[in-house]
Amino acid sequence: MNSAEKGAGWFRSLMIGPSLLWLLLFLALPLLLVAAISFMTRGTYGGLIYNFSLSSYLMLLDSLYATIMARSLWMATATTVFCLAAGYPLAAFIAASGPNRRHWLLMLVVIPFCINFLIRTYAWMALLRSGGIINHLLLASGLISSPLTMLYTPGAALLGLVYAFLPFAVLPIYASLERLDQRLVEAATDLGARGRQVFWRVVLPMAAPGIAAGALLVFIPTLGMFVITDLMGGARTMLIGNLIQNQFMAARNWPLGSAASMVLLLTVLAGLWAYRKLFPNGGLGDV
Amino acid sequence: MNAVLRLENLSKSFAGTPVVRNLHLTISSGEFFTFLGPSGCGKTTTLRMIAGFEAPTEGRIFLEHKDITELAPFRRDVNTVFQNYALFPHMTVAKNISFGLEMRRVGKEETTKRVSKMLELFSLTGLGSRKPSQLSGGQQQRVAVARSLVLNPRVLLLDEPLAALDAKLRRQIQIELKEIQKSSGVTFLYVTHDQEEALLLSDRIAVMRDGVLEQVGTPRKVYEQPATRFVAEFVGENNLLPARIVACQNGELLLDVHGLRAVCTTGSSIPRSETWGEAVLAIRPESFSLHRHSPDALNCFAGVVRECLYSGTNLRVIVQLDCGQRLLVQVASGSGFRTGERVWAEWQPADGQVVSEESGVNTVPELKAQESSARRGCAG
Repeated sequence: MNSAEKGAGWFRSLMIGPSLLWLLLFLALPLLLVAAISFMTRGTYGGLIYNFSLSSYLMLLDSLYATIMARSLWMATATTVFCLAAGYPLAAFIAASGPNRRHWLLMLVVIPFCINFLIRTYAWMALLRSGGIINHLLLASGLISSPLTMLYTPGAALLGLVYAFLPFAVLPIYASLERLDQRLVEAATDLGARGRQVFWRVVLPMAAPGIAAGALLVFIPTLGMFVITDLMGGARTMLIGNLIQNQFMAARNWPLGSAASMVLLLTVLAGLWAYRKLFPNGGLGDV
Repeated sequence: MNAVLRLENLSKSFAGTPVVRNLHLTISSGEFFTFLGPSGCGKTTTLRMIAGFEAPTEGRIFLEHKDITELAPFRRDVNTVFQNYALFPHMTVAKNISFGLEMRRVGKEETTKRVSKMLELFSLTGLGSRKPSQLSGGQQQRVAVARSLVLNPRVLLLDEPLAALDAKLRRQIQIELKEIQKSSGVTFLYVTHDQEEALLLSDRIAVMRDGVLEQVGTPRKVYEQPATRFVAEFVGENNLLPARIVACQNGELLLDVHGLRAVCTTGSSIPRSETWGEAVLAIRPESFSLHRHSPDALNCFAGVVRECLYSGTNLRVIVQLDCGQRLLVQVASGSGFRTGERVWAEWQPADGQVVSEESGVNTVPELKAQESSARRGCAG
């Protein structure tokens, strides 16, 4: 190694060092702590007993918790499916628009990010609740005689989740469709393919990495989300995120909360691993 | 030989700007026909109208006497080789080639047979399971042609198919393309801006400018008897000299070039007398012979050598005539002319072409029918 390379190495350490330290202190260490706590047991008054036990994990197998896990998975899957179903046509529409209009449409998709999502969630609540705007309008128009129960239902939670995560599906799908060479579509048509065949044989396979990336970006945060479901879903729609929050805050059972966190983490990692397997050079790059 | 493709008064405008104007053209079955012109001349647009990707603003397209103007691209019995190949990156080479057959619901056995025949024909055997990204540029180009040719189209449309290849590979694939065209008997409709390529490959060339056909003819005709000033300039190299027609008799034109007398044979076309005042005389650089002493010749321009450029087999000499006009002259590299030497450039009356400033080809459809029959007469 000559001196120039040595110098570069020193410079590199200086540049990478702080972020590496940051990750160690605030990501790796807390994760290890959570992992360690998940193998401990809860003290009588919510403290920790420092022993090794699998009791928290065994407790998660209880039908009560298993139901919550299954519901979370189902909810995240449903949110993903709805986001993709609504996001693909929107992304395709934006990609097909002229360059000028495209920028405006993309901005409209991104604009909600500028407003705190709690405020957006409260706005939905104002729309949906019994005395809310929608019920008010329906009652006034005489279409219904008593207010509809829309808020605090699983449906409301799903709506809130789909609304919050739709942009995460739209953007990667848009990116893959925008990159799609229009000449490939022409070539397929030229070789005798009709609209539907062009879509299934050429457009969809080419957009697949973007769709998968969008699915991941929706699925992962939805799985752990608790604020939206808490505010809009009511008590009956408890998900794994709510469970974890509950165990740490209200129930003060840190080992159980940690165990649930670890299970959630492993589920997400499994999803990422599957994505890497399916799309080695996929749209999400270095995920 | 019967007509396979006929364009009738074909026009296309984009947002009011005409790109192709009143094209009349008949292409014979089995012909290698080339649209030649600079970028933006409308050649690719014409091809895209035939393929069905652009709807003509006006005019009709006939494929074997059937009007296909309104037909969707997937219903037309023509196929396109795209400039950047447009191979499907997520499919293997074999899948790319079989795509069209699958769309046509050709049986599995037949498909396999035809695909492997194509792989063999294009020396791609053993590469069938590769992805396009794992192939070289030349191989990708071959797959693109194979993918279209496997469908036995009535006409194969090729849009600058060799533009992305380096010069050496391009020359090699040019020969391959010509051989495949001959052996398959498929009509090739080729678009290029490379005049050398057009001359080398084509049975007939249509030189296009600003959406208008300047000249349609065999490579020899286009090169040796350019119809317009544009063709004379665009196809090969030419010296264009302003000339005034003084007289026309016994098939010979008497010209006044910068006060010098010149005689050239009229060839096939006699310029209309109204253009006699201002004409252009075109002489190829290789048509001159250069002398150190004044030869006793009919046509001879005196001047001084300004520059000598060595290009391997040839020496390219720039001669400044006494009247100020510069000439590009091409002589054998061994002739040893030097800068500053006084020289006389001699040329034969048959090598001078009087060309007109504008074209009139598009408006006279009958003319091309005559031309193509004349060509066939020559070939037979």
